Amino acid sequence: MPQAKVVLKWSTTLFVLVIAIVLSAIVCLTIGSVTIPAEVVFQILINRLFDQGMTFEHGYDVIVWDLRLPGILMAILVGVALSTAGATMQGLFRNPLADPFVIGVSSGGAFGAIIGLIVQQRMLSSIPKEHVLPIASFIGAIGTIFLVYLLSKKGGKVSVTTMLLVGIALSSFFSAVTMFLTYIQVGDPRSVLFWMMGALDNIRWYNVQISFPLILVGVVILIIYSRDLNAFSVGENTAKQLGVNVERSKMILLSAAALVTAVAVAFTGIIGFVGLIIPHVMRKIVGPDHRILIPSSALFGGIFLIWANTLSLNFSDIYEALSGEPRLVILPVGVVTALFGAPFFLYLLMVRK
Amino acid sequence: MKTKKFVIIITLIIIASALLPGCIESNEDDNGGKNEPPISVTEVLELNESKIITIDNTDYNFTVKKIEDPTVILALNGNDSMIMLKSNEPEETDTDFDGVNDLEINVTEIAGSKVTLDLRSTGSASKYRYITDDMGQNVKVPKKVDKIVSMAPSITEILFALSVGDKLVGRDQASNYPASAQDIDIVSTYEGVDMEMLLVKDPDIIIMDKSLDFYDTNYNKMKDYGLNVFRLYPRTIIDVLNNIETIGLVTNTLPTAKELTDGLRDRIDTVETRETLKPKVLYVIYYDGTTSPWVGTSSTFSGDLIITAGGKVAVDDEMGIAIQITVEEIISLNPDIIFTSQDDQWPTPSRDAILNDEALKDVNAVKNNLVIDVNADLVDRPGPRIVDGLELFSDYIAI
Repeated sequence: MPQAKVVLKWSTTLFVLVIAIVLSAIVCLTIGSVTIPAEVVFQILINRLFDQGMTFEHGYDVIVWDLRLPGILMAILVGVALSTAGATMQGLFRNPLADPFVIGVSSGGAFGAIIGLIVQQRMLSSIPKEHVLPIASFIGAIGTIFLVYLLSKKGGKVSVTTMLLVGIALSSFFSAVTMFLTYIQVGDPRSVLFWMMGALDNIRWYNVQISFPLILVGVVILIIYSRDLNAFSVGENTAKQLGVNVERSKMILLSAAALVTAVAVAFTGIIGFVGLIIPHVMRKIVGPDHRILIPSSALFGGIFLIWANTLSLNFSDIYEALSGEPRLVILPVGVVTALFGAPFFLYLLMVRK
Repeated sequence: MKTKKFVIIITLIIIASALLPGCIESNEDDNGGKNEPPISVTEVLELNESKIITIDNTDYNFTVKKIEDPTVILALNGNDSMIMLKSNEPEETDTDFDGVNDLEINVTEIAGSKVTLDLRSTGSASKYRYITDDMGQNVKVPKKVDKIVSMAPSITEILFALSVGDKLVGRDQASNYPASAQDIDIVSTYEGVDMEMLLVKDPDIIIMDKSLDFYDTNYNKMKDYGLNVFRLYPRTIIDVLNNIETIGLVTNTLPTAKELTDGLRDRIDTVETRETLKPKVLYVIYYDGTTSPWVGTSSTFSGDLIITAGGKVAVDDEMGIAIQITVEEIISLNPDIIFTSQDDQWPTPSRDAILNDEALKDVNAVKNNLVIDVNADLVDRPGPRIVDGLELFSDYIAI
């Protein structure tokens, strides 16, 4: 147990982050393609939370509660998932370039999605696409992890370096096949492409209801095992000497990280840079102790993705302000995170020198 | 003896060379090898005078617009001017005005405000007439049209409705109605026009819809090869009726065309007299629950159908093409009726996606079970069946 001073510092940080996330959520609830005044948004929230029985015109309360709120909650969940998974990967692999997709989860998920799409079109057209895609993607993602694990296992032990390499190899393979299938697929490849660049539009309550427990479980596990991650960062042999059951911890950490990433990818496609950048930012602010790094990365990831999502969905307004043309432009979230993440990442590299 | 032989041979060679150019002299004409004697006329025109000059059975209306020795600016048939130099070849203007190809025009003299024109018909004029298409071009159309190429499914439908479907020698890939249209060879796919196929077919006239060739790529290609292309550009139901009559004119079936449009007009009038409560109508082209929906607007055909049937168009826009809106906007617009575009060949999931979307459940159209699949071909194709689409819309819009 760390000193009281440190615990106080950590608690304060987490408290501030929680306030920030709640404020971000409320502010972004007022932003959307249909202009709804902030007071009305507040009234809607109070109405729904405390069952006041008010009615609103123009479907405002449906827009705020059934469209925007699930979207924001999903952004939080996915931001939390990707940041914690990213921090975990960076700790496990002892590599600052690691991100949640490093062992092939993303390409496996994309591959599963496109297979699911084709199967749904040909054989299961009675079940709507938005139900089939997440399940197929999830199966693809988890299946890939298993494959990576099996291929990297040697004599009861799994070397992280081997996993990394196997992950890269499988990623390339699945990416190539996915690209090819997307290309020859008859029909509208637009929605698949959009998904592969990260999509948080058109999220509904049931998406949140399914992902919430899964991501919560995974993140809680990662927080509990964050002490083991601290040990890992000094080397596996040292960790063993410190009393860590290395192989078991590794398995649990990887599984939890893979689980939350697979859920995120299944519902929202591949959103890059979040899992990579957020842990680095938080490491600078709170330090490398994973017991604070993991939860604070989670919260900051949520904040970041709420704003990235709002920007991506309302890019039309910026487009209109810049070009004078009113046109609906929805930037995929992955593009927004890359636009911010890439320059920031370069900055990080410069500073390290 | 050798010298004599030599002289004879040289003489023969000289004689042969003198005759040779004459032997190989080609008769340039563009009417398939038949030589018809050109017909010449010399006329004197005054500045600002318009004169109708008849050459080879065809009337040409010339106007002298400006004289600046040695240049003269002429207008032909009221269209774009040609700049001519005295006794020189006519300079090409940069509009493609086909009338110039059939006439050789020479300004032989300029005297004050009088211009002497020497006009020679190249012999093909009597075989053609000029009809203005929707893009303002005076298109050269043969008087007898036996081989037609259609570059749009709506045009194919019109041609069959006018009973000249048997004259079609080529169609675009999307032309699938009526069923017999599918037996016609495809000369144009979604990737563009197949020039080789098209040239082999040697059509008398090619009819296309400009809205399907948004950037004029196919049109320019065909013009580069010197083909006669007639462009339609219908935007409303009335435009469709006019197009039917224009195609009737082009294919020499104007009486049939007028009969057809009279019948269609009667049906439209019947629809317009029905009483409605002016419901708000949204036309959804594509929605699958994962990307923002594509919808028709006030400036697309669906918009004109809705207005004519007595409804209000949900989405206002001027661009004339389908646009994307957000689900938030659909909720806010709260349409009373939603028509979802459906296709037999490529089924769209729109209706199911809308009915299954929990965020849309309070929208009027969804609540009142007024989300209706309509055959896209009846709404998006500017052909005779658009009135079928109009009547279908009216069935739900009228009381």
